[in-house]
Amino acid sequence: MMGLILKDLYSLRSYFVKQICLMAVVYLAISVAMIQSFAFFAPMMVMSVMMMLISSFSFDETVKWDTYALTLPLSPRSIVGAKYLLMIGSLMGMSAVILLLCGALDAFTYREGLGQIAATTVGVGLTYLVMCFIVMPLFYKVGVEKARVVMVLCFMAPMMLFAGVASFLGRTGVDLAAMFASLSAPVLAAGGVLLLVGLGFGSYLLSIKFYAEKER
Amino acid sequence: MNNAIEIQGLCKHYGDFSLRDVSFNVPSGCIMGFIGENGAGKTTTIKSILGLLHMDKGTISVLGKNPVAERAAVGRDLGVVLDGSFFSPVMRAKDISAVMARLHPDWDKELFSAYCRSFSLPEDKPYKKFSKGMTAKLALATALSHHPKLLILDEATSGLDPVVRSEILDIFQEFIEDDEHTILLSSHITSDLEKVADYITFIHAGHIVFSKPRDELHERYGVLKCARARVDALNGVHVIGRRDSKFDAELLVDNLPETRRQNPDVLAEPATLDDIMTFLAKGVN
Repeated sequence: MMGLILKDLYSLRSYFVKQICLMAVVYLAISVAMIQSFAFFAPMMVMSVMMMLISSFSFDETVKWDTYALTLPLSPRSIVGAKYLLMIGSLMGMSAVILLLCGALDAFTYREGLGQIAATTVGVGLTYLVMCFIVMPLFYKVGVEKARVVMVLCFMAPMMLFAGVASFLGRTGVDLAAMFASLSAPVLAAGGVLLLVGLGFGSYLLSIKFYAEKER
Repeated sequence: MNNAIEIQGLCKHYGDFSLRDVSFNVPSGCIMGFIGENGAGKTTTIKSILGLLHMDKGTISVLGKNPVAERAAVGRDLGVVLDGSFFSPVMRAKDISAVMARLHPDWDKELFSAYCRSFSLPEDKPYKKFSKGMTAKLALATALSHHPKLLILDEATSGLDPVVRSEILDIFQEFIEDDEHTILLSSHITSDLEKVADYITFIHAGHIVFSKPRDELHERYGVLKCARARVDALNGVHVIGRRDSKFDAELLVDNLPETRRQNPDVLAEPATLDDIMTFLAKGVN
């Protein structure tokens, strides 16, 4: 799997240097000149890193990497697993680095506190993680370009679903907000983690199935 | 003799094309040339051998294993060159070596570097800056550098100049010096196959026309040239292809010795692979 991750890192090296560094300068300028807060910079950088990682799927499609990979001593499980490892590891790793960097910058500038920056960064990171778990099986099933449409729906559909459910429950007299507030933080956190792990595992298994079924 | 590849009854149907009952074996320790016109089914067959397509019917065995169920085991002994570049164009040869060293347990970094030197490939230049020929050489170097037992090459020498092609054909012949190594080489450059192939398999419109030793083709297949009016008077010819011009006819026969014996005054020469492909692809009139 490390070879597969290394392949993606080599492919993204040029993109990282040019695009990510450029976006970092732009977002930093906006954070300092307009917003005066690093709570904008951190989640925007997480988003940029995520888009870069999604581009690795496009690169693979363009060069027909999967056609070649399946002639190597690799299984579909390891090929797909490497992509998940790259996405999750990079997202978590880069989020942590960006968070620490912004925290350090904030300590010498606006002093909003790491908590606020962490809240937005972790929130955006988790959102993108969930989005990846939903979209990655589609990348393997229909390809990146068609799956990009679904990425837009990934943002809208959960919001609409949640709003719909909350509205319905509200009409039946159930106060969803109060219900969540009544749960202790550890319970909420454990539930969230379980949901995330379940979603991630299900996504991984589905991706393997679609990858193995696809003809090249 | 063992077979490196065994294909039995392979059928694969697409909307406008079908592979129909494709069966042939690639004996170990040989070079098999795989020829056919564009769209005949060469790449579909090769992809089926590599387990990249799902067969509708038939069985395939590669080095004694199922290429789908035992993919990783087969991949270990397989070197492949297909149409396409497969690595990101920004990667350099040394990046590819670093990646392959982690993907392949038998990757030989020194051998890869030696091939790069031999093929004059710079190891620290992004290969998007390579010419078509250099890209083809890089693909070959990659395929050869993990000591495979079986090479499957789809148009591996196209785009290469005659000097480099000659070098590569020498490498192929060294590769199969022991009976453990085998090459399946699909190529439109039939002159290369005339030089190195031990067997030739010809596919046309999705079915195998023949799979024979190259020497047998040279002995049996011939092209007769005579006046059109003379054709019906020829004795003992078994015509399997014909091409007419205004006054003359060219006939492809598959019994050249008998034809020469019975028609000593008619010009009859051994058919080249190009002749065989051209005549058979057009069908027997």
